[in-house]
Amino acid sequence: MPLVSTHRFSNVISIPVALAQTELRRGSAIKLASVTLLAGQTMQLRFLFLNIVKVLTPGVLADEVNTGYGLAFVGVYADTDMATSHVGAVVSKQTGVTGLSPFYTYDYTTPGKYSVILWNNTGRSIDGAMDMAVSVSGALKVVTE
Amino acid sequence: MALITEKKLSTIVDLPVSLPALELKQGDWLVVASFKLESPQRITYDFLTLELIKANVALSSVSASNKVVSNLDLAFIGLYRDYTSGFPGLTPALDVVSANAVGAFGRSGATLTYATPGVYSFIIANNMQADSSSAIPVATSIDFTICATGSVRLELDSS
Repeated sequence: MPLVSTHRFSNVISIPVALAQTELRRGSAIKLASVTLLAGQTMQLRFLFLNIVKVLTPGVLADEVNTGYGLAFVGVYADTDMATSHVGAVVSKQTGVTGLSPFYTYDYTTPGKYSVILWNNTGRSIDGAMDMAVSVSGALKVVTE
Repeated sequence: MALITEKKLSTIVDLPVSLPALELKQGDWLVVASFKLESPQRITYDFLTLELIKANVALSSVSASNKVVSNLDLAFIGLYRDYTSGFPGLTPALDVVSANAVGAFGRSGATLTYATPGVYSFIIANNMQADSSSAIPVATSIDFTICATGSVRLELDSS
């Protein structure tokens, strides 16, 4: 059973993915974090929560830009900013807190630039556009071997 | 000397509670962080600092009647379980850090641990309201520039 030394512990860092309550307007995106992963490093994603605090345009029936991605979603992207090309995401279809299952992890080892981006997925039609107040809490754990 | 295993380390993460400086209007509040705790997870909470950077009125003019909740000072940030809606000061909090002047205010209490499943939220609020008996005109909104910094340790299991 491997134990963790203080040297080992100093090579493990949690990088915040934090967005306090913010208005996320229809069709818009916010980059929350950006990490450059080097060879020999591993980035682990286990905890990521998206909270749709409230819908600011009540009465709107949301028209999703990308069907299946809910009202809003937050994704981890490797060397791309294309909305649906994420390598791990939290999709929220209603108000409240949605998160990853913490009993599984996403492990990234490929060197490159990783981004965490929050998307408002509504507004394919003008009538189906929705503004919302959201917050995001999470962490990316980077381990240097 | 207690040691932890690699497996244990991989199930621990420090979640940020981070709000850059922003203007919080009179009586307004917002969610800074929120996360869902499921059995057998637990959180350990120790560090949180609230800084009241500036106010748009002389704080010496603020009277007790300007406070929405009398014991929560000028502004506060609280940890709530299963908060739904409404002014957070009217809901029992698990822990609160409040500011009664310009400056930084940190937690001084013991480390807290929670394992009850639910949705935990950090909510920051401006505890001010208009009052005709105050030296501050009712038409003046008492606004604060405020920031908060903290961390919560989330563990996948309680072992």
